[in-house]
Amino acid sequence: MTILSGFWLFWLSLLLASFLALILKKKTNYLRSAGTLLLCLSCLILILISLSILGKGGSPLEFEVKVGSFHLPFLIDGLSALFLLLLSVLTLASVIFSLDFVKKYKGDEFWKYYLILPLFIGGLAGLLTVDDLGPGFTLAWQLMVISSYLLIRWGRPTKVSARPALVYLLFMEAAWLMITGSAFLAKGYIFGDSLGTVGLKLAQSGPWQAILFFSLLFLGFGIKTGVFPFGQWWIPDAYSTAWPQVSSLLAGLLEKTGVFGLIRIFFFVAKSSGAAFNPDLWGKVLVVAGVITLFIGTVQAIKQSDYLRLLAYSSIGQVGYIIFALGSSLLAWNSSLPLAKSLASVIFIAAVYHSLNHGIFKGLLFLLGGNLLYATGTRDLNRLGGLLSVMPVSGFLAAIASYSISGMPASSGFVSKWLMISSNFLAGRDSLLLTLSGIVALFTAAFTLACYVKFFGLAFTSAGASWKLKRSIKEVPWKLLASEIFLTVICLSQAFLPMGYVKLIDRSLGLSSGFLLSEAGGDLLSGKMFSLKIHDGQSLLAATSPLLMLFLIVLLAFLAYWFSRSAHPAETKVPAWLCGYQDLNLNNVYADRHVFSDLKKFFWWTGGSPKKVIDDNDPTVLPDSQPKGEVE
Amino acid sequence: MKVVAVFVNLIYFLLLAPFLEGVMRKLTAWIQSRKGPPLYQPYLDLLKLLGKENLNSGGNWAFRLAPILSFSSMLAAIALIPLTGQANILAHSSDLMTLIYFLTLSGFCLLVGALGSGNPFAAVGASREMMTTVMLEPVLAMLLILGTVRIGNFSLSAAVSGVAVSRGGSYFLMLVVYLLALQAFAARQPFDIAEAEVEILEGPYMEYSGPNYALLRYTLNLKRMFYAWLLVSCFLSFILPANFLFSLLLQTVLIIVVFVLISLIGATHPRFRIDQALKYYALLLILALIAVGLAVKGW
Repeated sequence: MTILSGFWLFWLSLLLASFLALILKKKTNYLRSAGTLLLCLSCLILILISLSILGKGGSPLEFEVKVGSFHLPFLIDGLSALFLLLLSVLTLASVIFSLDFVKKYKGDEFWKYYLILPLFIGGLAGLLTVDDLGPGFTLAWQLMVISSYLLIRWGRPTKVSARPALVYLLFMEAAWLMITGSAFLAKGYIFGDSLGTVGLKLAQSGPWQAILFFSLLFLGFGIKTGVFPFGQWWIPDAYSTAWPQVSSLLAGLLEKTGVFGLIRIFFFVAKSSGAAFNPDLWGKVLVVAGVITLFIGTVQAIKQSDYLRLLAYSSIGQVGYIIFALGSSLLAWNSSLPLAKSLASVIFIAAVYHSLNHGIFKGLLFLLGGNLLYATGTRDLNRLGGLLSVMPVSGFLAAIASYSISGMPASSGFVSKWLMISSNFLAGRDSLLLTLSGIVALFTAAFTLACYVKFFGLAFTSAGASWKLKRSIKEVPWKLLASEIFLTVICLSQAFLPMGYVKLIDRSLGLSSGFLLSEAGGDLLSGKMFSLKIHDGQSLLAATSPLLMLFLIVLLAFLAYWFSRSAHPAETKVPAWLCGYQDLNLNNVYADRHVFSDLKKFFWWTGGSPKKVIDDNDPTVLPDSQPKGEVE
Repeated sequence: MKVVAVFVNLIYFLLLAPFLEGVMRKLTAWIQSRKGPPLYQPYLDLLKLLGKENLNSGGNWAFRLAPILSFSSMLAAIALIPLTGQANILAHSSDLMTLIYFLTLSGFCLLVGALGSGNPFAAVGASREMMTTVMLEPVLAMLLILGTVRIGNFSLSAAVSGVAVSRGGSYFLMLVVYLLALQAFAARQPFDIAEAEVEILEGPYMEYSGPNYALLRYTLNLKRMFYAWLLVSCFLSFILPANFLFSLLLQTVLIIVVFVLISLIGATHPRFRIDQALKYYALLLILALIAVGLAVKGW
């Protein structure tokens, strides 16, 4: 079986899944199993395709499809294959998660979900594989936008979902206009030219056209990735409205297709357009935009009480890191220092690594948010607490995910942030902009930590969910957990096999022709399977080894355990002590709105103050179709 | 030799840290016209706590695991440091970011434990402690980055020795910032906001007792000693002799001097409110940023 026929098979099984949803409609059990099977099948095919391209002897696949008078150029090179891999892994988890989740939430209406989801996946895969800014791009983009619009629209009762979904649609269409429109600035552009051709034609256009071209594309893909302030306008509302398993795809992948677009433009088209591209200017634009986005997004995340909004804001922040690294890589490449020039590719690898990491742990966190929603029915952190004892598995997985996204030692977030920040400081030694923005990035990492201490602490530790919600809370069904364990395992592998992933990314870049940094020079990054080192000749500049860090902590933890238990102390369970006069009850709990209140006040100027959290079972948002006024 | 250095780090800190608390208590007592406990009292306290009962109010693994991990990650941070300017075996696979994150991890574990206890006072303390970490950790990071910028190497020993490599404007500005931040790093008055005994009953430590509490106290002592050590070895590295023993001896004396300073300020100042403290930290952040900016420009 050739890769190309595999690609068609992928589309066939997606369309079949969609078609079956139309036929089966009310036969919910058949519908669920058939939809899940076909979607899983298409994911597996996609994994095979990506692996055969990235694996030994693989090579990029380029082909054209004729639709009427249009030629749609497709290109699956190393970079596409890498992102397709992420897509298929996230989709697998999301589909397995939906198996039980939809049952609880959508009654017998969920055939619509199985009708649209395959189209959404198809749209995302299309965006990662088409190689133009014309008809092919338009087709893939519209498929993705309209399907995700519907998924967001159906995520909650119409009263609360109509507006966010519409805003999302408008922004995406505006982005589409900018992106497809930009290509017309290239001299002699024909609707449907491949990206490489657009770059070559751009080289012959005037300097202003080139600047306008890159600005429009930066804005277009910037809207999609959520660059400040565009992200704030649509991301939090959209992600908190869609079903969690859809948000997991939105945050894990839809955003990353924007990053993918930025990479294609600023690192591929930029190369073929030659002198028309100004790396200094665009490097600075990306660094500044990235730093503002990562800071504002993360600070706003701290303020949220709705945990789905918290996750959404924090994904704006995390994407800021990726954009910052892309810009820093361009600046390093453009630098006159030889060391900085060769560090450019290290920073670029860091950006891709962080995209993969963020895709996995944010996808996982949204699914865990789904667990909370499933078990408690509320999205308000003020009303949660103490779930660790009733939902131990979810709690454990949430601990790992929060730990990873905070970038604590021996986690996947640490590896990619380490790569990004250490090489940024080494490359930007003489640049005020790079050094100061590196410091802001480090500073913001502490905010990310605060954000997830709050998320984990108030939902799983602390106390009170059972009083506040007046219902018994149980651990979620195993299918939900299975999908999350799958993602957790990948997340851990990203932490402990850093060199493996770096090699994978390196290989994918080697398989992508026309990459800007391919001649940037020296291979500074070395290491064994478990560790990473940055060398300049003989001198070691920076090093990390997550496994060794874990080993050190665990070893010393055993020492601490031995020390603290050396006198064989007894242990007694006691109630929390409240000065002797009171018991722990509903009025004696530290609620989310008070946590970090002074810090929130201090950073009031960053905006993004939380809205009132409204749950789906709130009587004010129930659908209008409900009988009214028949109470008498 | 490089392996032994790791153990020297750990033993040096573990042995000396409680003594320094004794110094602090004695001095504070003198200033307040009391006699004060003997200098070895903190060792006895630790031993006594080890034999007491562990009370568990949270009933979950987060509460139980937190003190152990907090202690071990603080020790892990200490294991990495170049005690007398010499890098040890761990330097091959760690750098300054590892150190910063180990320190953060130690604080993070305490917070999770505090939230896990289910006590609202502990949660108030945890919230304050987190706000302090958010604003103060960057000051520590910027100190080390100052050294990195000077030398062009991200390793810990380069960062520590780089700060005093040339003593220009950035050196003195960073020294001022560090001295202003010292009380906050050491969590003493006027910045013991997270514990605030009379106000929120020791905040994060409230529900801990017995051996668990002993570990947390020990962690706090180690943390204070670490920040005093960092002050000495970053800013005064040029006066330390090359001989290992003399260097260690002089360092110890200087660390004790730093503790005298901490106790003097601590005993004579009232506590800030957290909102006042945040403004103060923001000022420190801006000053530290300027210092790093000056270093990039070569001053």
